[in-house]
Amino acid sequence: MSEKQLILVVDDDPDLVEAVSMKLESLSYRVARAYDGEEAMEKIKEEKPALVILDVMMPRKNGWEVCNDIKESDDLKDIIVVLLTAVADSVKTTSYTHHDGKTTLADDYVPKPIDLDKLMEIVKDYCN
Amino acid sequence: METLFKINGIRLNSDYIRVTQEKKGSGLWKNFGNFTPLYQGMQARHINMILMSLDSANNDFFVSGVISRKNLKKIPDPENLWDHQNPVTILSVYPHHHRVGLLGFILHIFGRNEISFYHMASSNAQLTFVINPEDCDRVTELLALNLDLPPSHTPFEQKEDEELIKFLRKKYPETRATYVEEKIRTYGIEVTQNLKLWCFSDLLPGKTMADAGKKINSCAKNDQAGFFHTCAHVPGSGLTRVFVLTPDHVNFDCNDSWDADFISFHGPHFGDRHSIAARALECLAIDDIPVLLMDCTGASIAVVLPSGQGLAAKQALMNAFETP
Repeated sequence: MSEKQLILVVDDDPDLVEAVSMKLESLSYRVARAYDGEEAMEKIKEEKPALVILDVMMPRKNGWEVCNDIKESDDLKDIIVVLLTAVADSVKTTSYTHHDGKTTLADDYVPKPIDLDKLMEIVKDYCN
Repeated sequence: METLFKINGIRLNSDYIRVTQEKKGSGLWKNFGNFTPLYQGMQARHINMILMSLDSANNDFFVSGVISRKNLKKIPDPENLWDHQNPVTILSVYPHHHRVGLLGFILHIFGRNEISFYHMASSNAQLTFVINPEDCDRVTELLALNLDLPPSHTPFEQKEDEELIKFLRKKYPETRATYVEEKIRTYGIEVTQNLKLWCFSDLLPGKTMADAGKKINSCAKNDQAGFFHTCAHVPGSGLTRVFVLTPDHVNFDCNDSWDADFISFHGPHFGDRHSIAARALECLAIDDIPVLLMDCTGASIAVVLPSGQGLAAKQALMNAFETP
């Protein structure tokens, strides 16, 4: 994959979206931004990013639901999903059990508060 | 005036209290004697200020902060902490992308419609205004009408999914983390030197604010660079001071200006933790570094210093803050 791939950053904290986006742009990635799950789904369908950095706790549609929608779609399932989650340390896996019984399969996760360098390493691993 | 600036969202947070503290002619911001600055009082009581501003650019000391209303019950002695309090709503427009034109346009909208605000500050993505709760509907309506929002934009007021939060807290108690850091982690401390801090002072809601907005907006038309930081404070006089920090080649027609350096940094969950600002100011005070302005919004801290102090300030901050 080339270095000009499109990464979608999704979080309901605009400052975090900006911080992650600026870091990605400094590494020559193209970046799209979304601030909740529904907006994210629209951009995913429209722009087909190579990788989505996805917060879990968001209004309207949470990250688990977005991840499910991506992975259950024939068109979108190849998009890499990296979850940002405050509960990742205890889960120790990228398979999350949702409280209503559903399971979400993300490709990777980064615990919050995020380590930007670690996140960039993960992005590079998937995008190179 | 350029219109229809593209933004992604407007966010509202209600049920907050704005508190202010003022000391006239205090000169050096750190030389207080028996006086306890607001941020130190809040630090001692472990109360988080989700927004905080310090303004000592004009030789007076003015601090304003915003706290959650529920914290009021933790403060039996408010008269020892602040001079004034009033209920407020927080409104954020994002992302600003450092557009001087957008800043001027929004100030113009506020002025033209005679809407006042108590406080404004930029973080790395958001322009945040502290407004009267009664003006909330009118302001959001005006901004939504005059700015270009995507049809899929997030709701103005975000409701938390209480059921989900309750579930997560039960299942994963570590989500209620308590941070104990000898050195507070940051994503890096950035210093920018040789800037110009501009001040539009003595502004009243209405024409003078609208005119200031227009002047700021017109700067964008001349293809001048974006702002590094912006804030506005309304001390006891009721007259608003709007500050804009830009590269030194930008030229505004305004009341005051200073040659300045700028430090910005943010860290994990800064916005959820008390005492971050107090720790930063303490570091600067120990090393005798004066501050013109400090603003904390969201997870960002912005410090405007007299020219030539930037590198020393970064060094001083590194005594309490860790950089990658």
